[in-house]
Amino acid sequence: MIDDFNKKPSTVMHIDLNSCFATIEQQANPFLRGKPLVVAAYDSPGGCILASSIEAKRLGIKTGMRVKAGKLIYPGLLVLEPDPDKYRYVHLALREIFKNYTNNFSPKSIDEFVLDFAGYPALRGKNMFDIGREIKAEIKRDVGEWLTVSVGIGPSRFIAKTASNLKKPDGLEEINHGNFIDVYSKLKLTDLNGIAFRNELRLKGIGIRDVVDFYRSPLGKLKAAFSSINGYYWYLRLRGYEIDDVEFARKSFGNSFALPYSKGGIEELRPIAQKLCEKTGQRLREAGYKTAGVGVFVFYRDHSHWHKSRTLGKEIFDSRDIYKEVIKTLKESVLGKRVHTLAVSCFNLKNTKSVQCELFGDVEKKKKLVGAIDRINTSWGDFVVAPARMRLAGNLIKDRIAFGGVREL
Amino acid sequence: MTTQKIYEEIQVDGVIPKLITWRNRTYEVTQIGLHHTYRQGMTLYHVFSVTTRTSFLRLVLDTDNLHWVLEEISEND
Repeated sequence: MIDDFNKKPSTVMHIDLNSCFATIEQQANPFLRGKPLVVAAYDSPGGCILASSIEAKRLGIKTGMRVKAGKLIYPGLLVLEPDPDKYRYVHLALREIFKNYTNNFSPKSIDEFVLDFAGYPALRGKNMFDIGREIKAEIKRDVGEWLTVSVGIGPSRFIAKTASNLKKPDGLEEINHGNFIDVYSKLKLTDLNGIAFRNELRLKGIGIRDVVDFYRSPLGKLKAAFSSINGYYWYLRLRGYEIDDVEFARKSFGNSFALPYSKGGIEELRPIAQKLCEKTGQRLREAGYKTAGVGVFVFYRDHSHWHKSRTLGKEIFDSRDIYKEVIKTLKESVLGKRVHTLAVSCFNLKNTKSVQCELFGDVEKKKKLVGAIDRINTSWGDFVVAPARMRLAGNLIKDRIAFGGVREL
Repeated sequence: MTTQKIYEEIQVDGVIPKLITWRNRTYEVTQIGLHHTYRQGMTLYHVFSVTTRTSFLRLVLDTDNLHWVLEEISEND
């Protein structure tokens, strides 16, 4: 049993770009600086807020709210639609800065990075706070003077991330064996990354009321609370031992679209499904995968939903084949109801170069055709060559930044 | 702040925009907020988000034909 907090020197840094999309828009347009502003999926009243500026957050306008709810709080709220090319550019510019300090860094999302300095010369003659301040200054000088980051320092990824959340915006905080109890005493359970409502209930159910209780609970109690090895992982995590230094393999590719209006019926879904399959197929092939599973999810306007996944008897890679499987699956759904969101996904991924021959159909010929179309679209722009049916979807499914990983950047 | 989408060709003085001529009016750039790039197919576009004394402008340079386009303008209220 490990009773003490890890005494290893803090060499892990978690960096979080404050209010990413909103701050970048304020960087681009100085007239927006200092004003309550949100970036929303759509600038209509029902649009979902993806990011609030620091000024909007202070008014209580949060990510996940609808635009109309934000405007009820502050009628003068500025609303912008996302500009993903800008955010990707800033993300890549930040990566260039971090590369100068350590090769051991990984982007966790479009606006979060983890850097490990253990064994790197960046630490010679400097401490982690010096490096944190240097990085902040370089970001302002080389990327944008309005951009701020919250920096967290600790002996592990989890502790560094917890530290980065202690002060926003523009924080620079460390959690170590000298101050961890003091920090834990000021946090709620749900302030910990990985503890949301359900896990909080689970912990409170066995008498763990706060983070200090969580830390002081014996290993057996945590194993009982989580009924799995997660109890042991939390025991180590809270003591600053590295558990989260794992890169998970890609398990699926998917795209979704919220329809602005719907009458119901499969015919209105066909062009949208086609475009979703084209986008998913393109990303799948670009990453070097084939798929042996297709999933469809439908969320209806009456708040009900339907989903089905189908494991295929063969691997496919052609977006047209993915579309056929999606439509076959969709025909089993509740048709006629008005649809809110349609999502398609490919799972059971295979990273193989060879193609399984088929009795009926020339797969090698198909591979060459699909490869040629992909090369044309890469040279001339997305969907220059695309199924005619997709034209009916027009510009409906816009370019967006996915929450979470940025593996394709 | 009202934003207008324009998409008209303009004249720009210099590699980094300093003076812009649009519909016979000249605008002097006071600040470049952000310069970023994106690709559409093989074509690289440079986007300059700039301000003048009273307006915000989004300028795009097409590196294939070296033409500048004013995509967006908004007046600061």
